[in-house]
Amino acid sequence: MSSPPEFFTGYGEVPPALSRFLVKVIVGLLASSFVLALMLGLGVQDRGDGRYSGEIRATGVLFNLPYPVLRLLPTAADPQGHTMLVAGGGKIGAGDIADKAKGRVVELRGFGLKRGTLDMIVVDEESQVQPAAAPLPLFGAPVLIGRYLIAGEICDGKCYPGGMRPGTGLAHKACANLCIIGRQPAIFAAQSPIEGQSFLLLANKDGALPPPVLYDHTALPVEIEGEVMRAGDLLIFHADWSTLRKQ
Amino acid sequence: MSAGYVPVIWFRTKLIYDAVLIAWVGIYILTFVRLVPMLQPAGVDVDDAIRRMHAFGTCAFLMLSFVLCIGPLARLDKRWLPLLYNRRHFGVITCAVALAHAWHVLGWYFAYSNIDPYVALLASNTSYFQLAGFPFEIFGLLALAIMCLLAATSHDFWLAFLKPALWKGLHMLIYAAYGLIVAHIAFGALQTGKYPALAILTAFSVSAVTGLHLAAAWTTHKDVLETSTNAAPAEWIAAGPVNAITDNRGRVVRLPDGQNAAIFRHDDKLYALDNACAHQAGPLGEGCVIDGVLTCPWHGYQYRLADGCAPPPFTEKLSTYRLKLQDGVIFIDPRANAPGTPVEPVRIKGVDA
Ligand code: HEM
Ligand code: HEM
Ligand code: FES
Repeated sequence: MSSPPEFFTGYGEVPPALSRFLVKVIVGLLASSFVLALMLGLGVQDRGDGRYSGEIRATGVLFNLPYPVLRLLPTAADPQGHTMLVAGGGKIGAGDIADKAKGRVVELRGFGLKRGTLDMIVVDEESQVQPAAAPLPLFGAPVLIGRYLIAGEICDGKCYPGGMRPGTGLAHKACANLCIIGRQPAIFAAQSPIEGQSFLLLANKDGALPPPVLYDHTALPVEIEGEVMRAGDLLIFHADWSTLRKQ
Repeated sequence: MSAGYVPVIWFRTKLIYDAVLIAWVGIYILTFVRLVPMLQPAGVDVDDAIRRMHAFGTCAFLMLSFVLCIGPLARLDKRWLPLLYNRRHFGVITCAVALAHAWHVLGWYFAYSNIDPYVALLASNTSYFQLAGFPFEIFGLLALAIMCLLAATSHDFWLAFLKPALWKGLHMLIYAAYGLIVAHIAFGALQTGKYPALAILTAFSVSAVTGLHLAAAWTTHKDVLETSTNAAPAEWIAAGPVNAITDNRGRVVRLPDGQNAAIFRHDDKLYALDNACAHQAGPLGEGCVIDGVLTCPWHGYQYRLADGCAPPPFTEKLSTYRLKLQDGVIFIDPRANAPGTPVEPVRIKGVDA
């Protein structure tokens, strides 16, 4: 065949000069695959230091504030009592489970999630909530600490402590919304700590569930004014949504 | 084409092409999800699902960028033509990799809730009227829809069914898909500001794709002879000197009605045919005459110069044009003959070429 140099038909013989070129291209491409995967793979960041801490049990009283929380029985070391957030399995909140045992002393069994001072127990079945034989302690209603203007990010309380990393950031916005729609606790990750805490459980001005307007502001830097309440060692932000501003 | 041995080598070429493609994807994904975790310090903890969605997402983006570069690369340097040869397999494999990315995203960010993942994809973020927080997944979804549409209509059956003009128009949607993916990345993963490697890759991809297309457009523009548009359609149109065409090669002429014709020189004779190959509208003017038959640079379809017909058993036909030669200048009659009409070639006698 009188194929001129460097002309490729797909069925004719490949001219030697062209075939040398093509071998170089193929080797180059395969090497680039390796180098690019290394570059982009190593560039993936570990976003967040939240972790699962394995199976745990905790005994206390369940409250909806407005999301389920477990106030642990006070101990000598911790007379004020520690407060844990309670989440359900997947992206479905534990509200239903908690409603039935509200105000009684119970033992919860589930998986622990922890990031900084955020302490959470994941309870995905009713059978994991068992009545416990202990005297009912006198937990008061949450107390007002003060009115604050806080800058930070609205996140879902399950991914932020490590349920599903990254847990913060825009790439994760739809996922965070999905958790909050499913009634997993919404939290506010503050840019600078309030009373030593860098996250607060989120509620409406009147302490009820936050309004749907929140979905447009999750995962973005915002500032909101509102009252900060304390229940044990947990801070709750009764945010006034009309004051919300983009940062 | 000697039909006897054609299929064997044809398949061999496609097999090599596909094997290289699949090896490329395999090396990329395995390095990303298996090797990289071993190289990272012990404290770095990235969920496997996230690694996989990043691996398939960036892989599909790299492939889409490269497949868009092949066209202009082949225009600028003919040695790249073999990569263009099986571009549709490239496209289909890219589409499969992109599907794997979307699959992992749906199985992670949009799973584990009591809302169906496909509903969640559209309903969980509805901030369509704000720039920050815009549901960037939609860009990915639209791009994926385009890629699937192209993949589903990829067979030559669809090309024949839809007619080349419509099919080609459909195919140009791939540029829209690319733009959508750049937006998908810019409004999504890049917003965290914590993935500089991805930012660099995206900038590089956009400049390579646009730069190469501009360079190729410029080269093509230089090589195409624009004919005067004020000529009445029936008149002969000057189409450059005969010595601008080398033996066994062609020259593209843009006719007043916007059609491109290609004039070829072979054995000291001149012929003119439609520039668009009947297969996938490949640029015949960039092809060459092999064993007396015009051969398309894209997939090697062949046409007889004298009548624009593919040699038997093939049945493709191209329009032909009449030519004449005056004082070393070629003239073309811009009215195309019906496909397959034989035309007497113009002899170059005593012309200094
Ligand atoms: C239904 C379709 C799609 C959905 C739902 C989707 C969703 C996503 C999501 C949620 C991310 C952010 C991941 C993160 O940062 O953690 C992402 C990133 C990305 N996507 Fe898509 N995507 C889709 C289609 C595509 C297509 C078709 C391509 C390319 C051809 C693509 C390429 C990328 C790239 C390169 C990234 C950045 C790297 C990464 O973060 O994984 N995506 N996509
Ligand atoms: C599936 C069936 C497909 C067929 C038959 C096909 C065929 C073609 C043809 C003939 C062209 C040249 C268009 C022209 O300039 O006239 C082309 C261009 C191109 N195709 Fe496809 N393609 C297919 C699918 C895909 C897919 C799924 C992708 C990407 C995901 C893709 C990416 C491209 C790109 C990037 C170009 C370059 C456009 C240019 O350089 O002008 N193709 N394809
Ligand atoms: S376009 Fe495929 S052979 Fe011409």
